[in-house]
Amino acid sequence: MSLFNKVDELRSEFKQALASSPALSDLERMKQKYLGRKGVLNDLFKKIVEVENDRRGEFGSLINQLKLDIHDLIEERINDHRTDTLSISAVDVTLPGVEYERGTLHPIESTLRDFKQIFHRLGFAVAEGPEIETQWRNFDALNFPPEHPARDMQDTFFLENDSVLRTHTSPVQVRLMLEEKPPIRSIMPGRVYRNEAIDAGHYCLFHQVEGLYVDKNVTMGELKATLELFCREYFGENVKLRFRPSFFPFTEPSSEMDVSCFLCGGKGCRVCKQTGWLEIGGCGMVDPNVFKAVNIDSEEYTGYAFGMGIERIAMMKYGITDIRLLFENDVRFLKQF
Amino acid sequence: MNISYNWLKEYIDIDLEPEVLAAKLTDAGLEAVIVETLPEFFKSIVVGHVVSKEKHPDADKLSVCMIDLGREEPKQIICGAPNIAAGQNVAVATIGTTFPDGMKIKKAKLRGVVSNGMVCSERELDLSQDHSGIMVLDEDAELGMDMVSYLSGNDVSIELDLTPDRSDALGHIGVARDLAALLGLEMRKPVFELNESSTPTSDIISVELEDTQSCPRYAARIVKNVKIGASPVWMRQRLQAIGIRSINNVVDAANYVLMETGHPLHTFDLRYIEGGKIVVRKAGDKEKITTLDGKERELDDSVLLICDAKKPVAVAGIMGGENSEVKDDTTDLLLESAFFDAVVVRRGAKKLQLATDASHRFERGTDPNGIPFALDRLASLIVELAGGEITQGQVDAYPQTIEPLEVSLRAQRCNAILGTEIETATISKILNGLELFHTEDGGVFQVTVPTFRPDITREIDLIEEVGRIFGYNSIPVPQHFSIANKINKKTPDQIRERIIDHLASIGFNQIYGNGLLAVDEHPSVFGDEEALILANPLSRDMASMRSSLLMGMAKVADYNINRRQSDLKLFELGNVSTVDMDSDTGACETSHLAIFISGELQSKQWSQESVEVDVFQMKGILSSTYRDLFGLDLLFEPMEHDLFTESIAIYLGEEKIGILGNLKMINQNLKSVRGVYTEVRNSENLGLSRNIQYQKVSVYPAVERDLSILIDAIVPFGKINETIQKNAGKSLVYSRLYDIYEGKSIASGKKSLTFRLVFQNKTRTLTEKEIDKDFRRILKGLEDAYNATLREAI
Repeated sequence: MSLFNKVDELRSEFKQALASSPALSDLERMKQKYLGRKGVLNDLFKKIVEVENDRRGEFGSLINQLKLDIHDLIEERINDHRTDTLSISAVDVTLPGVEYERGTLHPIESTLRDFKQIFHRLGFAVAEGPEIETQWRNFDALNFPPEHPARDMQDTFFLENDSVLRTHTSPVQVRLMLEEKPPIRSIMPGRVYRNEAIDAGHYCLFHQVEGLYVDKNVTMGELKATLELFCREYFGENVKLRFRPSFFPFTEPSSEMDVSCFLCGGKGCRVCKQTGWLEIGGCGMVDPNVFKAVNIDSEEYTGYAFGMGIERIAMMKYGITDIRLLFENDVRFLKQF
Repeated sequence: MNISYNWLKEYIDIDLEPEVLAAKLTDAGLEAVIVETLPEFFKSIVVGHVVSKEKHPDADKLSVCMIDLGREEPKQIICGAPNIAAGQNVAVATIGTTFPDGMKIKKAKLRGVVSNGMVCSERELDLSQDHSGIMVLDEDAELGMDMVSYLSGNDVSIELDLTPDRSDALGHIGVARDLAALLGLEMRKPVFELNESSTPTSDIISVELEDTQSCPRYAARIVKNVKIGASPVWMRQRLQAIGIRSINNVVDAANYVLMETGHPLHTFDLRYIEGGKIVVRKAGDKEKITTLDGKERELDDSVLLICDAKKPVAVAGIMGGENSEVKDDTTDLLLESAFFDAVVVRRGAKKLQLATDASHRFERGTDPNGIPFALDRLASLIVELAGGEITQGQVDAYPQTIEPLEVSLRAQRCNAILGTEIETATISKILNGLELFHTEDGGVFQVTVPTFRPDITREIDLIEEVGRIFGYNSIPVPQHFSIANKINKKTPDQIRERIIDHLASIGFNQIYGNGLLAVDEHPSVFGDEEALILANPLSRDMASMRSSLLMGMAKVADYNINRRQSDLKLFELGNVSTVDMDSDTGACETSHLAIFISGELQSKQWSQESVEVDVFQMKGILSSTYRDLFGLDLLFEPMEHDLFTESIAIYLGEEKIGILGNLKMINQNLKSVRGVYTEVRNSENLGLSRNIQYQKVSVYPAVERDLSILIDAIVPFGKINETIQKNAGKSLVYSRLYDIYEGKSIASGKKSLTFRLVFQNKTRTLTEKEIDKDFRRILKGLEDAYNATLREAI
């Protein structure tokens, strides 16, 4: 039998073995037998020296072709076995998905966004102004007389040049009323500063949103309606509002606004210090002296203004009990929002 | 300020529960909460009656007492006080009482005899310094009553948080007046007797006002032959209820009238007033006075003084002088009731850094026409408590009478502001309740505003009064309201929101930094910033305004890295400010965006490798943000910067808007902070100019070609890319650097760059020849400019 016949013989032997539906272990053994380093095909190849010179190339490629064929056929069968018996482990879909880590808005930012969104729907534009202001815009134009105890209500940071770090966003109201003619309907968010010792409840800076509406026939009833709508949207349909007379130099009449405690619904709890109410801000009708300072005729126009502290409300909403957490920016804190 | 519920009843017949009363006051703008003024442990100290007293068998100074506590059998209690006697009522700390210093009363044996409690002295109860003996209580005190009830007379204390405009409510009468208006009740002023001797007061004392601007009125009375002593129980209870400690009958009387009328009063010992004269004048420069608190104070002409013929005896409206203080042996008194200018008192109090009950009231405005009443009331009360004779008449220096203001109020205007339909008659009733007496004609009121309401000077102030008593919560809420037919000017907040949202959506955490920094915490980020310094900082650490966001960001990074959170992706969008002499605030404020990345930008997952941060990551974040949000291409140029390695200047067109780089160590305190930082000025008109026009998508095939070149290693990518773009022709629609290689098989000093080039035409299919031509032109450009050579097409 020539060596060439031996190749053909091995091929048919292999085909027979494959036809007998070998198990996975048989296939592994067949792989060793035919393709292994000491396998039958390698043995046969070594006999190439016995082939006449001019047919050696033909013999080599014949064996190589058989090797490739056997390899492919065995792998095909092994694969068949895998999908049959190991269909779960073929692709383990219980492996974790590839996640994209999302970032976060700072809780002050997201609270502010909620506010803006509600007031946008109520027809308010957004106005902004600088954090460093003249005393005139921060106090005088807002009807804080010089040397009046009202100036003590807001502990003020002064710059060496006598400008102040604004103690409220109200100077933006002054800017707006000087720049535009009524009607004016805007909210004014921004950072404000108070020279107060820092503790769990106080920080040297915080953020406010103020609102201003100046037009003909603006009433305090309308102010109440606007704030009620806001509070129902923000705190929920069942919230109750309470207005308490108060004093701010730039509004007259002036009022504090309280909402029924969202935690206990007004029964009294730790959050509302047993009062059932949470103070959320101040409001009132724009004082005629403010209109005078910005050259608006207070007989023709009336207006309301309101202001709320963002941190205060964010803290209530998220159950944060120490304002300093908001400015520490611990990522383990930030990633919760 | 605290008020007493029982005390209020002297002026108005109220039968509301204290809680309801507090709610009513709150609704009317006098924020009220019920408070405890006595310590909790007083609840276990009770009134006991000493039934018997025997000498202790084994101790000379101790007595064995049987004390009836009003329940069960009398208790045996050992007492060491010399003044204890059978028949007395005493304060007994029962077993279980814990004093604030931690001492606990237990059943104990003293020299072999059992004691079931302790009899207390005033000092033990922190009621006075008296420790000479035990405190003897009223004869008719109810046995077993606890000290809270005994001392307060079953009263309730209400704390008022008053706004600075309501000086009229700084006394019980003022609060009763508001209640009268609110509840439709009558308010009674106190009625008292005033028996004067025949000696005219003016024979004893005269008053001279040197500065009638600062002191428009000063009235004095003399009371002779008083006997200083302890106040009776009712007085002590009144003061106790509002948290004022009893001193003696004369001082207590002055405090009482202060808390009744809201008008501050002062008592001098007449024997120390020299020359029979009171002079009210400004202090001289560096003039000195020792005030009642024992402190010597140096003054200047911002302070107003009360003097006698020779020396200052009090700081007007703030505090009396030590030299004229009423003492235990005082017999003759000079009483002061005066009106000082609010601003003068405020300046003085600021100068002396002294805030007293008196200065608090004068600063807010007192009633110049309430002076005689308060003075008579005080004189009468002193005689009631301490005996003595009141001399005839007040000496009242009041050169220029201060008249009540006349203010008009239109009912229609009132309703227009409040959004109400309050009847004219109702408005009238409200005004009368507040003693704002008036005439009315056709819906217009002419109101005479009494001088005890300095806060009411205009129509709008009266409107607030009407609204306040009508009730803010009663103002109807309209079912509809108007929105002006105008949209106010836009501000750049939408642009900032887009940037913030974008960064948050690609995995960044937004921070809000503290904008206040130490003066030396302003590393030069942009090179031209001069920080603004605070004149009155809270602390050295927060004495200037941030001129860049870098320090704030670095501190936050440091905080987190020290807590083992070192893979950071942080950003802040906030204002920074620098000195600008041209602005009216002296400051220039701009909005900045800062981004900081450190550690791993992407952590290792089972199917993907981790990605460490580098400047190219940051470049990509920034340029894609600007391109995707605003359609703007940022330009990046190498630069030198002290704070960074791999420093890059960022341009938008010609304008340099920011810097980017790998942070070096900023300072020793922030050693841990390593990462890539960028900060850009947030251009205020970004995005508003973006005008998107749809481009038709080409239906003709795109052809990809890879270009691989060998080029001198020192030629920057930016230049190579520029050359490609310049020579590309219209058909090159896309090019991307996808491999860069130096090293083995590349000649030293050279690098290999591989670009993926995509050619496409909008109107037809490109031929191989055309593409070859473009490709050759690009290559030729690189050959000519940089001596580049084609490596091989892959």
